[in-house]
Amino acid sequence: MLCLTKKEENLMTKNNSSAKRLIPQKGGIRPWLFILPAAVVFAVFMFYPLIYTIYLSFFDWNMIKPVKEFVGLQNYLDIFTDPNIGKIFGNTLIYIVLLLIFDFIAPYIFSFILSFVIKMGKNFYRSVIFLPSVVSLVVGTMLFVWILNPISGPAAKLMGLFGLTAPVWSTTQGLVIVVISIMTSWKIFGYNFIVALSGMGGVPLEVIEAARMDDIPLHRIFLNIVVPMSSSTGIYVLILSIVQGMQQVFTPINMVTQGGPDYGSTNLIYNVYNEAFGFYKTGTASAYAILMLVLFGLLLFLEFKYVEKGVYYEN
Amino acid sequence: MIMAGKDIIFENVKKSYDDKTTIIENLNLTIKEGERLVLLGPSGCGKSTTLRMIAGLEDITDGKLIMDGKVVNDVPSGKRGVSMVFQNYALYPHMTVEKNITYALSVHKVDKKDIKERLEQVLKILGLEEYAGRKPKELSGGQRQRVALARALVKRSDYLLLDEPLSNLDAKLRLQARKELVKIHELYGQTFIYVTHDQVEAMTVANRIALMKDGVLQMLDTPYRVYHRPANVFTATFIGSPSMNIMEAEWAGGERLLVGNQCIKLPQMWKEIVEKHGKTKLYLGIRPENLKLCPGYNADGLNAEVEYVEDYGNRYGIYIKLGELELISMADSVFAGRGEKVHFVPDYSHIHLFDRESTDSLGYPAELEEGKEESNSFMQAILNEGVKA
Repeated sequence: MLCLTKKEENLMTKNNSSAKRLIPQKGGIRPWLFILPAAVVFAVFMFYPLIYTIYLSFFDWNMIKPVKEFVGLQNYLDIFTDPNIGKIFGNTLIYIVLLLIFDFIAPYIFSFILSFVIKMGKNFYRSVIFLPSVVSLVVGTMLFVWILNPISGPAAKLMGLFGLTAPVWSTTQGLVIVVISIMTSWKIFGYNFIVALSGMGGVPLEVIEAARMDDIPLHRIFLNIVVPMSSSTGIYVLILSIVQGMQQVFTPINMVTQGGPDYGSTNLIYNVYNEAFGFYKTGTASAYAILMLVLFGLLLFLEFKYVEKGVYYEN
Repeated sequence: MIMAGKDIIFENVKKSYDDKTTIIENLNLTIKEGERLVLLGPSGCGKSTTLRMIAGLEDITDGKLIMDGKVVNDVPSGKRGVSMVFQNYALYPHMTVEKNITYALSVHKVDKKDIKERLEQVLKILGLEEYAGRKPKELSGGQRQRVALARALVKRSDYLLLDEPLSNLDAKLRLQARKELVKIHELYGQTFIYVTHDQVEAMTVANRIALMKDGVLQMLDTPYRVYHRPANVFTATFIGSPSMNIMEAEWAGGERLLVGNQCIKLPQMWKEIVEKHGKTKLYLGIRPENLKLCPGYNADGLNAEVEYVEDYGNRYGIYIKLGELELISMADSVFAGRGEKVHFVPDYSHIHLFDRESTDSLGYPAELEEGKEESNSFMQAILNEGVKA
């Protein structure tokens, strides 16, 4: 049997109690202190603005009037009776589809080719493709505006050689969205490409070799082996291209078209900005912002429900 | 001569990267249809590169590789009729065992009934039936190895390539898997090309061993001959554990051979070989198990002193000092302790002589060659046992 002196027993209980103190106790103040700094930052920059936006969406206010007029759900009703609403939502969806093609599918295929198909010049391509990511989108936009200038731009001159006339893209419905998506993708592509490339780095070369020995065509290797095996990175790139893309398109819209022609390039984010700081209708802008939140929430829900299930995680 | 049907023929094959690092200088090798050829050698000797050239995963810098009667230098991997078991198995981690095995067949639109039959057969042979629905990460190393083998077998290709397939298994499992591999070869009869750095694996699995070093083929022969008739010093010392004792020796004319400052008398059969060769600077090789020590001094033998003794449980390794040289003898019992004088008279039916300059074997007396091939190869005995089991 274990025999302890009184002194040792005292020492043990003492040690126990000090050990207990290190473990967070329910109701204690210590855990709250630990999360306080982060909580403050979140509260100031996330929760307060979010709640304030919801609050504002029930009022009519132009940022100057001393009194905010409560209008109930009127701002929301206004949105749905707005003749441009369909166009704005439609544009937003077109942007999403285009950005998914340019910034998710294309970089994914590029990184597959670079990882497993070509053998020469890998470093060169990697650097060249990533380069635009470090350049400001403002600079990129100016560059594109010059290149695509319908009269004096190099693109117009090139088309002139073939007897074609360059379209005035910034005032052409439909085309304007494509061009703005390309401008935005010019910046996002490289980053997404590098992320996808690192995801594919996790696919062992031997697995690809095994498939090649079995004479599996390249597109099947891509779809049946590489995509599933790198899907945890893929899903990240997917979300990134939507979220990043939707925000980044703001820069060229604001710089070149200001949402025109006739709302032809306006997406939800630009419209929120325009309602608030163009027309000083904070209530409508807030209501739009909330709708956008719902839309993104819905997309995220669909992603979790249908896409995440098939994702393969290494560990 | 038999036509080279499905033989694999390397004709002056060279492999180098960037024209700087040469992996394989000039390889000439014929792998016979249906045999088990083991490519053996230390790491970096070019054995895996050789295998990967057959697989079509490495380009051939120069020379010709002929398979199935055609030059296949530019034939892509998938069109060569080869299947391969990779060292790390290279299973598709997101697919079940069943899908792993049948994936290639279903991509190539093989008849569903046929796929099912082949799958069931291979699962049965390899004892994987109950694991068909599992993912690779839910399997042990040995099971994964068998899935990789199943995936290679189900293709029923003419050539099965195995790149150190057992190196990730523990010793006990390796022994068992080795026997299974031989059994499977007997069953399917494909040409087996097997890469390993493990000499015991090579000796037990191979019909023929191709021993390589620094991209040069050192010897290509049966396990028996590689062990008992090594073509050069490298082969002699690489195969066998502990490795062969190699002593510098000087032919002093006639029957006299000087080892250090001691002299032994070569019998007539060896005298003829040495005389024919003509050079004086030689190496004398004796395998530890053929070096039989006797107590005391003997003027006709080589006299040495015991340095220390290792106990292997079933046998003893006795290290002796012969002048400057350290030699090892394997014995069932020990009669002498450290510092004691011992001697040995070489068993002339089990010595090896090499040229010191080229390190090539001087050859063997005709008297020793007769009827040796079939007899008492213990390796072959293990092999046969494996097949029966």
